[in-house]
Amino acid sequence: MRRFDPKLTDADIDKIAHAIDDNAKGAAALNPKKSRLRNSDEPVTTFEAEPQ
Amino acid sequence: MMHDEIAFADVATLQRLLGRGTVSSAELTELYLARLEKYGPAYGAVVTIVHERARAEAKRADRERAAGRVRGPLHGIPYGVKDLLATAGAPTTWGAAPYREQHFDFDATAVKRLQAAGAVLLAKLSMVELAGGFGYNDANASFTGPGRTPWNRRFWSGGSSSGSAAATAAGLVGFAIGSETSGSILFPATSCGVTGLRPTYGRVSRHGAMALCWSLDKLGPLARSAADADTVLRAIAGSDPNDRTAVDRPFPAARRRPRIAVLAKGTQKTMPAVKNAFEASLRVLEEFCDIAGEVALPDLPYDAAVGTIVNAEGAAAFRELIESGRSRELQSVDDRTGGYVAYATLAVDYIDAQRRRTFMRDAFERAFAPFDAVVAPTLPTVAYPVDLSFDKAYTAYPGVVSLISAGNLTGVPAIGIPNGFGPNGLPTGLSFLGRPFGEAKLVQIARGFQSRTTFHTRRPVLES
Repeated sequence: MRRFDPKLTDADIDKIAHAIDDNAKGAAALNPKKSRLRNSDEPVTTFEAEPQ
Repeated sequence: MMHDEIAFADVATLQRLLGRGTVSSAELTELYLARLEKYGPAYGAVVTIVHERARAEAKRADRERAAGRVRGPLHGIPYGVKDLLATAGAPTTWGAAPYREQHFDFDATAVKRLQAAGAVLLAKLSMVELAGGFGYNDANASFTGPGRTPWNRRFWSGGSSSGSAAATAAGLVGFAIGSETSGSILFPATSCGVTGLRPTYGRVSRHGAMALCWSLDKLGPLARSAADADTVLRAIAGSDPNDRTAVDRPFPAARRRPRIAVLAKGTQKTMPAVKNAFEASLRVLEEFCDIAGEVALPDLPYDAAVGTIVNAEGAAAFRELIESGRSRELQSVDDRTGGYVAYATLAVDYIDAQRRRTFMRDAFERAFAPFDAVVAPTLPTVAYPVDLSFDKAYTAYPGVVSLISAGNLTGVPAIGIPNGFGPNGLPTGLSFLGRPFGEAKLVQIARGFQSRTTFHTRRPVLES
């Protein structure tokens, strides 16, 4: 992230890293073993070929 | 009527006064402009007051009325908008220092529709920077400083539509427009003791509104009654060629006694005042609704999904800000690094969250279809203290279930109303969650509650 903000401190980087890790752990709940998404389960946002 | 009574009157009363000639729109506008100047800064509620535009719109409204043309129930009524709606001739800051000089040369569709309805724009109202998309953890998260609830200045007005709620509660505007991605109308409505109506996703065009999260963002009214919120929503709703998600749909009202379910576990781990107010509210609701027992929120990962979606879409919406390093200029310490966290969201997690939404929508339909509304306390506590980070306040009352994440992910409407008072003179609130495009039924229930109670008509004692 320092490529975007060279002034980020080590403490900032540590805070960011921990938060990314927390988010990744939380995201595991999106596809738990007990109810896996199937291959054909589409996201709610779908592409439309015809321009609006 | 005294000035104070007029300032706190609901839209229907103001319209009656205008119709009788008791007051003109120009006089109402001057009354509210003076109150915005006097009280707005003390409550961190205002970013920009648009004096010239307000006076010109009020003059036009009076001129038309004198000529026999009244555009509708909002004709001549002064209002404010959250400062994420574009308005020509005034800055649109999104509550954030990096955008404080930002100008647009057009009005957002919602503003255009209110102008067409004859309403008078008074001010751009304060908000949490970037509508809270970068994960703020305390009230000091706007370049205008923390918003404060008119009921007690030591406590936060809620976010992210902070100024819209506070200005409405303090009688600084007739009504206001806010936005909600996940809680930003219902939360401040509760903290400030006003009525907040979060419409169905797609009911109101977002054209000209700051995008935080395209698949969740919605605009809606904050008002002093459910009837007012209904009037405003009808004025701003409808399709718009500039927002392909916006659609024209009717407002069907319930033709029978409303059937309501109570959210199971809704009062668990809530503040005692919230629980007591909610239980008393159920007794009021029983007078005119059939309470059909409890219904459980389908067990799905709402919080993980909403967090992932807001992070991914928010990082894309503010990619330029993040990559420029200017997040450093944000007010909240957590927002200064939160953009980088959001930026690192995995694409597969975002897609999976959007895949889960289909299941959530279908599960909601199965669970809630038999009811006109599901009711629960809006929040487990009263407003947060201004001087304490959120994760350190009210740790004993985290709540167990919340309709806010789930309701936003499924795109259904909700109305939040005041239903009591708790510690430090702060309001408590309850919410009704409805079926897609079922706002009229929610309004009908909320109006029934407000016709039997006086919480929505009480006024805070203001400090300037």
